[in-house]
Amino acid sequence: MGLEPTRRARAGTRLVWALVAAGLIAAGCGGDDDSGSAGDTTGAESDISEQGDPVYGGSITVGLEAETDEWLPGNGSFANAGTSVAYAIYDPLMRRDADGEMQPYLAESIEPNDDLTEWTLTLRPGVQFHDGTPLNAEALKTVFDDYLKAPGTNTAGALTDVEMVIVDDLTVTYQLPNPNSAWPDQLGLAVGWPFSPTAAAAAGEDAGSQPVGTGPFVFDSWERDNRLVVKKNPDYWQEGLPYLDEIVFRPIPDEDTRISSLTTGDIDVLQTLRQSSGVRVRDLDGVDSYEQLGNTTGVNIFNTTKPPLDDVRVREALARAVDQEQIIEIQGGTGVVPPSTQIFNEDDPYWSEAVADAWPGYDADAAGELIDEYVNDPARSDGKAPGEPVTFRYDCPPDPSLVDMAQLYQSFWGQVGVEVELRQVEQATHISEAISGDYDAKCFRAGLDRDPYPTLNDAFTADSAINFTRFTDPAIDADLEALAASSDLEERQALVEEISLIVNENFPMTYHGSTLSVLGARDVVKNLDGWSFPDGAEGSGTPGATTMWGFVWTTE
Amino acid sequence: MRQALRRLPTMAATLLVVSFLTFLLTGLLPGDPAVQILGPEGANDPEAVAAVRADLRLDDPLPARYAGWLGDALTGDLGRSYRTGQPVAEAIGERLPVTVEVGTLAVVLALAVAIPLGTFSAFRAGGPADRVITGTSFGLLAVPNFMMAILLIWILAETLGWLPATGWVRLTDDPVGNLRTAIMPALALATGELAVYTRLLRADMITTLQQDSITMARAKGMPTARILFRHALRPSSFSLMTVVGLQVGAIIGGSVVIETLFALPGVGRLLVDSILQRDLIMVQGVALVIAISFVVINFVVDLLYTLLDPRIRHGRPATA
Amino acid sequence: MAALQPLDDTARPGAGGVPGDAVTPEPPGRVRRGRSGRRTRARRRGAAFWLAVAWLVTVAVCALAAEWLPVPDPNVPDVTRRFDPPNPDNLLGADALGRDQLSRVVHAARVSLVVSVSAVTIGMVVGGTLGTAVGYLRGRSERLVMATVDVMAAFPGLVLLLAVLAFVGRSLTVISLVIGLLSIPIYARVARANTLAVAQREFVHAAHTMGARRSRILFREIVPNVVPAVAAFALVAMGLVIVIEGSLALLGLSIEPPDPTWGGMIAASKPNLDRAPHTALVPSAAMFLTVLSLNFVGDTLRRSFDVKDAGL
Repeated sequence: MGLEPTRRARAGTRLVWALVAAGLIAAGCGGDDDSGSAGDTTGAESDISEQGDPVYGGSITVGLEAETDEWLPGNGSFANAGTSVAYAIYDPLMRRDADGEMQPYLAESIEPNDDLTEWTLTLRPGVQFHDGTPLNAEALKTVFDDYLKAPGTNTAGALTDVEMVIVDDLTVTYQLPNPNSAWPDQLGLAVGWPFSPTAAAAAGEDAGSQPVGTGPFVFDSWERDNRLVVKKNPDYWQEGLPYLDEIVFRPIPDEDTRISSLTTGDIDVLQTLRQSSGVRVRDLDGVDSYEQLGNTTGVNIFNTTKPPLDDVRVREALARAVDQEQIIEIQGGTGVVPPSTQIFNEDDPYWSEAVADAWPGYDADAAGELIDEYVNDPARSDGKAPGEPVTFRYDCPPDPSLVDMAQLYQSFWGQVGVEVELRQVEQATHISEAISGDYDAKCFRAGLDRDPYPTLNDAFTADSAINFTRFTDPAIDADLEALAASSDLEERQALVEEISLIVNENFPMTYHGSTLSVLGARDVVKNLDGWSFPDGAEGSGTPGATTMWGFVWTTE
Repeated sequence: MRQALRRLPTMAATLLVVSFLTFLLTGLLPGDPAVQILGPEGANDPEAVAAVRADLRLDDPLPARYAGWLGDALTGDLGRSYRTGQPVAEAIGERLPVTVEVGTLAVVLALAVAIPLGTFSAFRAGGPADRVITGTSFGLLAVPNFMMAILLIWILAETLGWLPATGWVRLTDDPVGNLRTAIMPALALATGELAVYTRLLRADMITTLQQDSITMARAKGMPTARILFRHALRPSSFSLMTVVGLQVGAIIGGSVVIETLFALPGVGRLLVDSILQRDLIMVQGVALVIAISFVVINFVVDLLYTLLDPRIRHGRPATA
Repeated sequence: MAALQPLDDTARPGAGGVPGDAVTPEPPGRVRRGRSGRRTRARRRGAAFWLAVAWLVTVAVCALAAEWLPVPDPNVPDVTRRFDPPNPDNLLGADALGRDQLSRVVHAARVSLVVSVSAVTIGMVVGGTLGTAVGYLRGRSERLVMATVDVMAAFPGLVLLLAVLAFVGRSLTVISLVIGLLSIPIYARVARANTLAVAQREFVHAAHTMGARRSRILFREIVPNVVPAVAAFALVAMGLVIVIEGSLALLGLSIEPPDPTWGGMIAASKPNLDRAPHTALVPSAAMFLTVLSLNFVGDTLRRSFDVKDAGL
């Protein structure tokens, strides 16, 4: 590695990954990773046929919502689609269980020291990568130092000042610069997907297209934008797994064509994060739908440093001017997706009733008054003469359902006298503008399918590169510090509630409903949500429309 | 033949100018590639920006950069994608067969329908069959290929379930599966083409059928089919051939939308994706390949034309 | 039909016209069109022609007077009417946001008209002037201009169009300008070919013989005979531009919402085909009928103006 062209390629994608890591993802680009919420929530209802007994053999085709740029952790941008594929080839060191706790998966155990600055990870004996390289402390450290922390990778930022120390052949410690109770969370992401350092070194620049992990399936071939094929790993470390002989992953970005490919049987499984698609999949005959209400919510982010949205009156007016139910309705989410008042959904331990009560409802009159107040303020921040209308630009990616949503927002805001210019903007530009602050308002998806600490820390602190709204508050900083140093749930809940309250008083973002993630499968494909940990503990199902492919079988 | 070969230098010059314009276009688009590659975060690091700029030769004067890029391009090195790190030439090489196959299939389908229809229509010019054919082909001309594509997906894939709505199976993997994935996109592309060809052939055929040699053949009582397909078709098909060549541009243009709608991994979709993701070096490569194929195919058509039609000695007036 | 290639679809030499029409180069001396062709033409001047003209006039009126027509505001959503089928309030039903489809399709005519008229005007004025001038003047200027035109035609205009829209922004102005620019070569070719043909005719020779100034011949004899042919071609090209807008909309590269365009409406309807087919049918029908009428009227007019047909 380290050759220029590869690093170049890699760096272009690091933004996206940084967002995934933060759980903050542009709407339309996929959202979350490991979900904290398990089981059914308000609107999500899975509809699954009789599962029967496992069957060995067979091949399935999976339709994904996007292609992934490359497959080497640290270089690739793993959104939902990419993560789904990654779980076939790699094993995560840690994953979330049915109760939302991070548990060792590929790792045997993980233990922090008392002040949460040193985490000791023990590996299972006898695990090998697909190329025969043993998974041991040395392999882990080579990957950590030479790849994940290499300058230009998208993981380097998260690992600043983190050191890995080898204790013995199967034990390492992560040495953190500050206390962080949420560290295991990081090991459920790409940082915690060990890959073979020997294979990566041998492949050089092409390592991103020849992934070698420890997972239930071995990478076979990849035609970009068409298909990626993985074959059964006969030497998988979990006895009896996997069931399938082969999986073909096909990126089909268009929602309609992906759904029709499922109905025509061209694909056996699809994933989607669109409410409207989820509802359509639910109604298909002979299709099992595995729904999970992700702990992510659609949001509008406002640039709190740029007039006129730097004025909290304007932001509050924008929040009050909108009937969230209607926004959800035109997204096709009515009855499925509950309105949101905060980033967490109602089943999440960090959801707070106080925060929900503090969020103002739809009140166009109040919104109009706030706007009038700003418009007639001689010292209004946008420098216009009193009486001039408030104007700003609202950006959203050019997806049909988002375009509909943007137009409805424009209409709501127009009714209280705000003139909004709509702009469709590609994902890459969308994200880079959010980072550089060259925007007024954008549609995004904010997610906390991780521990709240890293996401809130990224979203609302001054030294975060991805604090898109540029909203900061000293009280939030203090709360975050306490949050990182605490592993007591109740204490943490109180801290997160305080932060959420401050956020909701200042309106750096408004909400438009939680994200429904759906895996739709022809009913011959079984057990998409039935995976478990090596010690038998129940897994978290299909968070973000991902699953553990080793546990899936087909009766066909 | 010699006449056509004499056009080679012109063709080379055209290609050179086009390649320069392509290079210029991607160079003039707003935004510093280095900043795009590194992202706003990385762009804060002047050293990294300088390194990328040096690596891409961005600080060289434009002509030098062009010369460097052209030199590399001539050796088959179009650079590596900013986005995925894949060599541009490799990416195009993977996708070109898809576009070529669908495009060729579309032309073949269109010709297979247009030749009998156009001939018959000319033979019965003015009759009810001719009016139906002429009217239908006129109507088809007004159906954009994306409308046809949506209609085909809706009917053949979603309602009847006969064909896969999307996706691509390589010819080498499974010829039947390949045809099943290629047929609908090809049909969507072929609809407009077949209308064009039918009308063209009909018009030329009508002219041919009035020539003395045909009248004489008829007088001699030669069977109609023999007259039409042995004697009339060949002299009537020269302009059709020219147009088939000229329509290459239309097919490439059409394949951008069609490949997006049918999720085909072709060059058209690569172009759109690269533009949307601002992968300029990929855009440059694709643009070059499109320009080359267009120029080369028209050259080949010219060549065929002069070879087949002894009347044309001074190059076809089509290039006038 | 070419979705995004205005350049070559109709760029057949000699004259312009509906793609596939008999506009092939004819070696001198070949008789152009037979009796049957003439008969067909005579028949086509009938009801169908005037129906097409009537449709185009309707579209133009909608485009020019959309605000004053008795239709609701096309951009005001009413979520309670989402996907309503045609009913007394919404004669053509309502779209995904509950907006009146009739009103939207009427207002969308404006975008189609503006894009097609301005793109065609740019191409026609610049390309037509160049083509006529060099076709008459001949010589070095002709070779230079036509060589430039050849290069322009070989340049992948599609790449330019998509790139400019993606990078500079999606606006009516940008779309019109770029398509107009890209269509210059075709008009130059069409105008030049017609000029060459007109320049051969007796009255031009006569004027020469009588010692008329070249500029006078150009403006009094050539131009009046070339303009109608180019304009007829332009009508057909307008249809093509409308289709291009539709293709751009499907790629998400047409003008920004909420202002409706036919292509944008079709693109937006795509996910809802199964539950609300009328959202796709209405704009598709409008686009189809307009393109068909433009082709038809343009083609019919071209036949009457075509210098080759005008009784050499």
